[in-house]
Amino acid sequence: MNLGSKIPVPEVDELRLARIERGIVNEVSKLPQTKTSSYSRWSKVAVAMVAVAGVVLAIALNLRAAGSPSASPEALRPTKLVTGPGQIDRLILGDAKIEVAENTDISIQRFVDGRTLILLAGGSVHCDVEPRKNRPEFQVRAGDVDVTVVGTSFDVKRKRTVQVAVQHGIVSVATSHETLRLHAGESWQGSPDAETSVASLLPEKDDEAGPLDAAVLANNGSPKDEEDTRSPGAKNTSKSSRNNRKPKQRFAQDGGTVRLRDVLKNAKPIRPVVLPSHGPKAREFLDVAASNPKKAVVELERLGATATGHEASFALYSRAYLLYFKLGKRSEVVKAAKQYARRFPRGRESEDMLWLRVLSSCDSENYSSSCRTAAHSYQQRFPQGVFKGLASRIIRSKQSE
Amino acid sequence: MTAQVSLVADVLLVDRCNRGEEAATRELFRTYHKRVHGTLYRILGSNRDIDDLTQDSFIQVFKSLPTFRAEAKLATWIDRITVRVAYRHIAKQKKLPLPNDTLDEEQSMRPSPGHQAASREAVRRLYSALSELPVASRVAFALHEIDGRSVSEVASLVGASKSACKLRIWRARRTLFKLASTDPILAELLEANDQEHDGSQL
Repeated sequence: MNLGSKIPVPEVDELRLARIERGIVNEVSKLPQTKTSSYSRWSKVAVAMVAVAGVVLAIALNLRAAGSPSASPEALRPTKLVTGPGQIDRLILGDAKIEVAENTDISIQRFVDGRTLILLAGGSVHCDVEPRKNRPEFQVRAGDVDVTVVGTSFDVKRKRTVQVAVQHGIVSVATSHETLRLHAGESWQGSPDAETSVASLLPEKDDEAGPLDAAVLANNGSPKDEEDTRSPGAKNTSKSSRNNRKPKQRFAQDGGTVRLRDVLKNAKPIRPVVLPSHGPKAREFLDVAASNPKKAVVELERLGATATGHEASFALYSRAYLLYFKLGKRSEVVKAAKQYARRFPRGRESEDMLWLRVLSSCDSENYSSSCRTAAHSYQQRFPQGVFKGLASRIIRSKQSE
Repeated sequence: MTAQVSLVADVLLVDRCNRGEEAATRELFRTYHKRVHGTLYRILGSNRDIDDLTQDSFIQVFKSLPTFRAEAKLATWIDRITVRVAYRHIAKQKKLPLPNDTLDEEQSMRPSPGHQAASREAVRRLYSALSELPVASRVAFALHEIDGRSVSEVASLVGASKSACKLRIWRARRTLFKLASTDPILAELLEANDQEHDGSQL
């Protein structure tokens, strides 16, 4: 039976349409205006949920060992991504390219100091990451298995077991029982002893420091003793399990003394993350960024001028990021930041963009008036921002440094 | 336009609406008004409240936009809200007044005045019969048999399982055919459609 053809829907004439439209616009104008986008709203909800779940789990599990790299106090903006059957997604996280296979569930967690943590709840990810050397840490966690990049291309699969296969470079694999390094061509397989825990993203009691302290901790690590016993359940299928040594502990509890300029130099803003909602162009152009940043800057500028909404704001921010970190053109970053602020006064990347402006305006040796003005703007605009401590120190630095 | 680009366009439009851009509000309305009006019309029949219900549906849409998570297409999401508005309207009125203004522009193009009047009367009786049904059955039947949506889509729109929807549609059909046994005009409409449907399947 299909009665649709017997009951045609009449057209609504323009007069009625205009009347309905007017009524809707009037009603909508009375609604309280949403100041945040749905994306950022959900980010906040996600953060809140992570926080609540984390507190509960933290109490239950008595937290993980203090000083674990993933127990940093400054976790930002977790982004959840789930792929369906036949859906493969590609992301660019700063200098890392990630291919998310079908039927995969990941959460991407970034930190103030630039570190990235991918929580793999299930499925498979392939990561192509620049050598880390002086770059922020990049880590994939599957259950209690931490895969830390030294500089490489590798796969992590989580089904009943966790499998790590390295194509190029070196990765460090750490479970609660063992830590080992895998080189190109090597692989490792083991059982995840615990579920990927959101608790590990939360600050531990001792780590409840401000952003400045977080940055200080990040730059003044000291080695920390750690258990190094073999996991009975883990099967090492590598060619050779050489370098069975503990990873360097980069984050220490003791901050020590550090000059503001060193902190500032290392407190990088959040690297651009390409999400599906940014549109295909942004993703495509950022692909170029790794090999040819100049070309990417030109293309992002064009995209910023022609696109609208998130796509444009993302393009402007990514361009400024590349100008600062890849090309070192500080004056252009300042211009780009001002342009962004004019066009997207409440854009998603406003905070990061303003911080880029602070970084570009502030010389590492002294802090000019423009530097202080930028820091002051940041403090005014984002009093609870992640760099509030640093901004405050820049403003006060005349007296103290 | 690929599905992904369409989704991106939806997200961008929603964000503009959430920021309070009037142009975006108008754009969303102009893009989806036919869909909303069509869905309401198919469920409720010709109804004097249809403009108000269209307006109510869109106001509900704009109120709920901040919660849009782009898990489904915006169109599907709007359909769900529209179905809820129709559902509430039927439940509130219990029995809708019989459609009495079913003569539409399209129907005036029918070949002869006699046929036109018969057709109009048949549709009127169909909706009269539908008004005897429980709300859930009526909505499921209208979405499936009149609006031409698949059972899975109906299930997704009304928030029920596929089997529940199939059962509701089957019950509605059974009731309609029972009523049609004593109403030749309604019977003609239902039989004609069954024949057309069978013919198209051959």
